[in-house]
Amino acid sequence: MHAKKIARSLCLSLAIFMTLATGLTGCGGSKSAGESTAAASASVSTGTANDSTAAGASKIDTSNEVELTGYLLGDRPQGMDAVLEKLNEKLLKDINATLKINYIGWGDLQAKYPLVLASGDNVDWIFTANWAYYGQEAAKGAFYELNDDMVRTYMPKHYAATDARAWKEAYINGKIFMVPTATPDKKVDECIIREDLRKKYNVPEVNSWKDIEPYLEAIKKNEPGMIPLNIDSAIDIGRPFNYTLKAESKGYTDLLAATSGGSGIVYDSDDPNGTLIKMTDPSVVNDYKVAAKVIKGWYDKGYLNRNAYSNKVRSKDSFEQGKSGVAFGNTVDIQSTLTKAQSMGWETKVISGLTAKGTYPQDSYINNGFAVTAKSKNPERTLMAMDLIMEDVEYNQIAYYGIEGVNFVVKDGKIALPDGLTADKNTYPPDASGFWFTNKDLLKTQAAWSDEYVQLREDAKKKVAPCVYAAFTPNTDKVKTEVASLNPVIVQYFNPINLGMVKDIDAAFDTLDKKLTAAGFEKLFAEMKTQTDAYKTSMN
Amino acid sequence: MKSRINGGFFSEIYKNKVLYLMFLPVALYFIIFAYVPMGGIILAFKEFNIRDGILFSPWNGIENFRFFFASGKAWQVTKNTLEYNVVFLACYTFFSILTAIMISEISNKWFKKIAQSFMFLPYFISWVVVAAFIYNFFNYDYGLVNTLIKNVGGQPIDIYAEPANWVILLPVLYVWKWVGFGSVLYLAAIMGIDQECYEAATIDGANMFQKITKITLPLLRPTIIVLVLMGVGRILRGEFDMFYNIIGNNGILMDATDIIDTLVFRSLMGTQDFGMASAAGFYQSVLCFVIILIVNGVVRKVDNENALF
Repeated sequence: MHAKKIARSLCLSLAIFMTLATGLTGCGGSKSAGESTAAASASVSTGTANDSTAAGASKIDTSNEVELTGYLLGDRPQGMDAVLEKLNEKLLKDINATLKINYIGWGDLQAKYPLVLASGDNVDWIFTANWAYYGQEAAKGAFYELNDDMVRTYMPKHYAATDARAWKEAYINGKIFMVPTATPDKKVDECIIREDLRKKYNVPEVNSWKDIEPYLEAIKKNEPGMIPLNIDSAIDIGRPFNYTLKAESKGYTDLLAATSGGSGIVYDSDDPNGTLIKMTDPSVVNDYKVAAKVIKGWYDKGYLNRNAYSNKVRSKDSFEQGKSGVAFGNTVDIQSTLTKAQSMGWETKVISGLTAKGTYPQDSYINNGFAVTAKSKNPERTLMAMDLIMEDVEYNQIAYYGIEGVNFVVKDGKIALPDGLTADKNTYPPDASGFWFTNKDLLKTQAAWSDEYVQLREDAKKKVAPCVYAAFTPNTDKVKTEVASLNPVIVQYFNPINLGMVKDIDAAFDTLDKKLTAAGFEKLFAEMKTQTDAYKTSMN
Repeated sequence: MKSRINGGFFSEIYKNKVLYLMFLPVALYFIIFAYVPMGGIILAFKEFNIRDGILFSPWNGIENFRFFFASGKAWQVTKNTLEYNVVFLACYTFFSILTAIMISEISNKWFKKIAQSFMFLPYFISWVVVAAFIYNFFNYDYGLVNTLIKNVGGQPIDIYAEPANWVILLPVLYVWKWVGFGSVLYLAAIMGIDQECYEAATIDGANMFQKITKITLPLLRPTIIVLVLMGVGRILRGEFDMFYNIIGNNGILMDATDIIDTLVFRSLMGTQDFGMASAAGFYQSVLCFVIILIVNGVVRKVDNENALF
């Protein structure tokens, strides 16, 4: 019958597919074999080049013009093309190279970052940091191994400007794969409250996070259009709990927070020995329960939005629209919210999220940086270009603030907007381009910063305290399975606690404890103990 | 002998060259997007690193599969995925056929087009947007529904804290989104039915209901079977976009709404391990393959003509 005939021709075409498919995969195989040998020989030749250049920096050969492709994170500023043109003009003159820059948007970061590196086509360098997959990708072999000689030869300015500790922090299994910033941010967690509303409703002054409850209560009672703590699902989600936990007890921090999201292994950021503890260990679980009770109370009373899991609007943004009583951020990124509030005529007060001791862990050097990719054809020239961008005052200023006269002007030694340009119309806003690893000590301050904000930055510098594991990058090779199983446990059994959603706090912690153990907590804990001990020895 | 076989194969191609030419784009599509990537399955058994690439990375046995089973959630999420997809497929098929028949019976052309367009519209709305709708409708603090309830003096409901709601809501949303698309497929099949059958039935005095049950449905059977079998082929692939955007990381709902894809996503988004992700994909593919073999086998027993293979 007709159907039979169709079936037969389908079988036939299937057979054709199969043959073709095997043929094609065969081709693909030989191609990648060729690639890997090419890569191997390339690394050999760079090795020799390295030796000869180490002998004398003057021998650096820049006779052939090269284009260097890099990836930054975030959204491409509108004015990027003009800024690049300007940068390339200078780069071409100085080192006979030009830059091409692509962006990986925040929304695609998780998916696109590893893909860009795995495909490896035409990428010379990429933004990296301990919070942006540095450890994971370095372990996968995505980055080009750097050494002291190379950096000294090709990045002399940056080498001179950077503390030796920075390079120690960048070690992965004793090798360096990234160029860390010379100037880590001095920032702490901050939140903003509406001081005008506080005065209006006669709430006693809020001096620290511990005093905040009456303020939340007043907002809930008197401002029907406002939710005291209106947090989102991605960034703010753990903040009220963390602020409370730290203020009430100690600076508990998850050791794998930056790696996988969470593991249940915590340490006190104020503890110089960095003792690791299980989150549900009897010695610390009561501290957690105290904070959990506070948050649950807020949730039940409606101080905290109920559906934070599905809310995509950050408290910073709803604060600006008058829909949240508190805006969460940090010393650097709340500046725009403060300016907005000022323009609305609101009086504000900034409260820092500190531990009971009044400290906040200092950002590590590897909190911002870049890496040369393993497949880059021009690692030397990439390093030279980045040396200029990071440490040369002129380059740095262009990369960070844009073109003088178009994006900024210098007034009284400060960076200001040209006449007639407003902050929201600036096509290249400061800090938005993604060159966060440049030397910020070389930058001029901004005229838009109010005295209070400048003061806030000064205060933050005093509050940051060294934290023993700020730069610890775990090697998860041996415990991949456990790392992968523990994060879902934290998401499913701990996050509802820290949002105050659970009905019975004690029972919830018992379940969390059982689930952590079942997911292989002990094995990960033992491995991390070994690794952190080795790390502490190496840093001293 | 050999030349005869070759001759047979090439003369077949020559004889139907126009048909094969029309088939070529489809063939290329599947070769490029389905067969070639299949080679990537080996990643599931490898300790992948970028320098050695897919082919030369060292093997590591079944290590990559361990995370999925070690978490103790493998059975639960597999069960959830299967249950949701069976419900989805059943509802989707039922409502698509129902809609297609109703549309085909509408005689007012103008109304027919409008109705169809409106039903098709959700197909173009991404789950991200749907999630935003749901949130604004139902959120506890200032959602539309709760504002209404509060205004009439009722107790607001918090659907994001109660798993039972989602077991109903998710299939409803799924049908809402896909029914327009599905009905078009069935409508096309209905349009292909010989009009003479209906005319003959009308002359014999059959009413509309009889025509539907005695002519339309039996003649739709092959189409239904093929589409259901194709649906079964994807039965362990969760509708990731939907679950991820609407439920997200909501731990309270997770026991009821966690599917394979969302668990894998949560487990691996930090470590970014290609090998483990491939392992999970491989597990889904193998199970899908087994299930479709079984279902197709059943169909072949019952209705040999309409089995896929």
